[in-house]
Amino acid sequence: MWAVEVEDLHKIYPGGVKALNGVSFKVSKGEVYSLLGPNGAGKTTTMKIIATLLKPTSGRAMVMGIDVTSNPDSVRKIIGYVPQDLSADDELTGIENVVLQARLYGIPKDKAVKRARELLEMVGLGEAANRLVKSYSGGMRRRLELAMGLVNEPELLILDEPTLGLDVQSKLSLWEHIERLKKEKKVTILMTTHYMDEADKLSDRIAIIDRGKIVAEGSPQELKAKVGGDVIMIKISSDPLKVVEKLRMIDGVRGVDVIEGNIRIKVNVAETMLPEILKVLGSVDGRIESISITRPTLDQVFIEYTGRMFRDEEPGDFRRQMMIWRRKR
Amino acid sequence: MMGALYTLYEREMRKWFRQKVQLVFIVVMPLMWMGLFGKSLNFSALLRIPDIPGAEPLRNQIQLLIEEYVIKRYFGGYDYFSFFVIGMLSVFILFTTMWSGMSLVFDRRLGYLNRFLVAPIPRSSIVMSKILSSVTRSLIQVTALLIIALALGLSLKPGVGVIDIAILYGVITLLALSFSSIFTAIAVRITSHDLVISIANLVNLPLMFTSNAIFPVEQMPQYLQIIARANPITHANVITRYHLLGVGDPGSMVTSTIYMALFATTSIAIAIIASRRIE
Ligand SMILES: Nc1ncnc2c1ncn2[C@@H]1O[C@H](COP(=O)(O)OP(=O)(O)O)[C@@H](O)[C@H]1O
Ligand SMILES: [Mg+2]
Repeated sequence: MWAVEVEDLHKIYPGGVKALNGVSFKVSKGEVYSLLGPNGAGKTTTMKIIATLLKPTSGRAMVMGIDVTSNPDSVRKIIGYVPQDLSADDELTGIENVVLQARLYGIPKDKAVKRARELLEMVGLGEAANRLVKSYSGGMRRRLELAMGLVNEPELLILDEPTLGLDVQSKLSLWEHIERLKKEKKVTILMTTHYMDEADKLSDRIAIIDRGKIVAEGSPQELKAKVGGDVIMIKISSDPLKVVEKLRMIDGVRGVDVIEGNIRIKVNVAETMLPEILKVLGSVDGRIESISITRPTLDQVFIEYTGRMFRDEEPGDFRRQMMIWRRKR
Repeated sequence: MMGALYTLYEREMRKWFRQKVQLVFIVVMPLMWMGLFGKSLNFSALLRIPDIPGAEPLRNQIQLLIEEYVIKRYFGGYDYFSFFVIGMLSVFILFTTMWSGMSLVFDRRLGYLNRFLVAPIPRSSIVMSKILSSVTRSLIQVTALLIIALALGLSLKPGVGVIDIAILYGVITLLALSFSSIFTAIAVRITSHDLVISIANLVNLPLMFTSNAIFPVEQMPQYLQIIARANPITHANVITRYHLLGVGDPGSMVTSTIYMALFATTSIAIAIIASRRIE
């Protein structure tokens, strides 16, 4: 059974915006699966449908084998949802928010308080638990949201752009928490992001989504490999041309050339190819002076599949409106 | 259902008590109505003939006639201020409960609502928590206003008892249930608070003037009487004025009570049905 199974989702918003154009994917249990795509690609729409907040126009979504439209309450019990837009109540304290959330899942008061303390401790908010959320920084809010998403010990945790708008420091700290969750709680995580590095760092598998369609899917390595793979640059003290033919014979090497005296080897995944390459180089005269590995980025993957540059930030609706308005004047 | 409802209700009340200014606001506006409008448009005072030197017996006779045949006939008693204040209690409840939808709109705007909607709780518990907290606030408000009004010169009927006060609270509960259900139901799909403000502004004065809060229904033109008799505020006042001021017809108690109970039940049913469409 899949943790999440999404089949041919279409969503047309009232007003005619086509947000999803046939999205399908499957997430295994225990996996971290990311939807990566620019703003407006349809990530949030997909998450909301899976979280039972939105009905698809057609297609279906299942969580742990349960259909989200026909049996939403059963799905609600086993998922944790951390929305893109902040959802903790400003006027309550951190712990009040988490306790409230726990109570909504039917956890009795004293147990809810205990659970809330543990979770806040876990996300590093133990000290700030009794402060009003108003006074929290962006990073603290995001961590609080994460804690709130975990009150019911969900089998599936949905994170919609968990680090949106955070500074580097807070972002790294949140990544750590997500990685720890994955290791310790063995929860399946379905997340979205428009940060390449985030998807790369956290995910077991990534689906690249653009204009309501998934355009590519695979592990970060696989996706990058499809585009061109890693490049290994080696400088040796002897004549590089002597080994080029030998290197070309290695299984998995996709191309070898010599650039300014450096051997440039294109491979799928550098780590797995290096031992073989070094063995070949060891059989010839001369010693290795330097080795460098260049990885392809997911940015290139995006360009490859959509034919467009991936921009971190598209103008928000407001800014776009202003621009249109100015142009009219 | 009850667990979720209680949790959400507790949240509403906790947030309300934390906003100390709101506690002041629930009495400031009514204070102005009672202190300014109630005192200046006080018909008993307006129709008081000043002392006329040398014509005291005539003046007193005419004054007596005015009180008996004008003031008492219209207002059931000699004291317009008390008539006005008790009638306005119901209107103040309208002024408070007509904002019930606002907190739903804000919960949606600020993203809190999504948290409730992904939790395995009945949709009706979200709406009912708004309604019940609104009713609670109304009861607290009525208590505060009653004390202020007594200080301003409200005179209750002689021998007013605990039962009369209990009936007042019962009537206010029914009225607050009705209005907050309707206004919450309206807000179920609304995303802009401007719209909520417009709706509130649209209904508040008409509902006040088409009731017996300021003027007795009997003096109204026929078409207004029909509207006034459908207005739950009118029925609330018929009951509260009888029990607190001893004014009015005891025969109307049963019909007015039944009307209010039906009105409240229907409103709650509408709110619960509307809660299924919450999004
Ligand atoms: N409530 C809505 N009504 C109409 N259009 C919407 C609504 N929500 C999102 N959209 C549109 O649907 C598309 C996908 O949005 P979304 O799922 O939020 O994308 P993402 O999360 O990838 O940025 C966008 O074009 C967006 O403008
Ligand atoms: Mg989004």
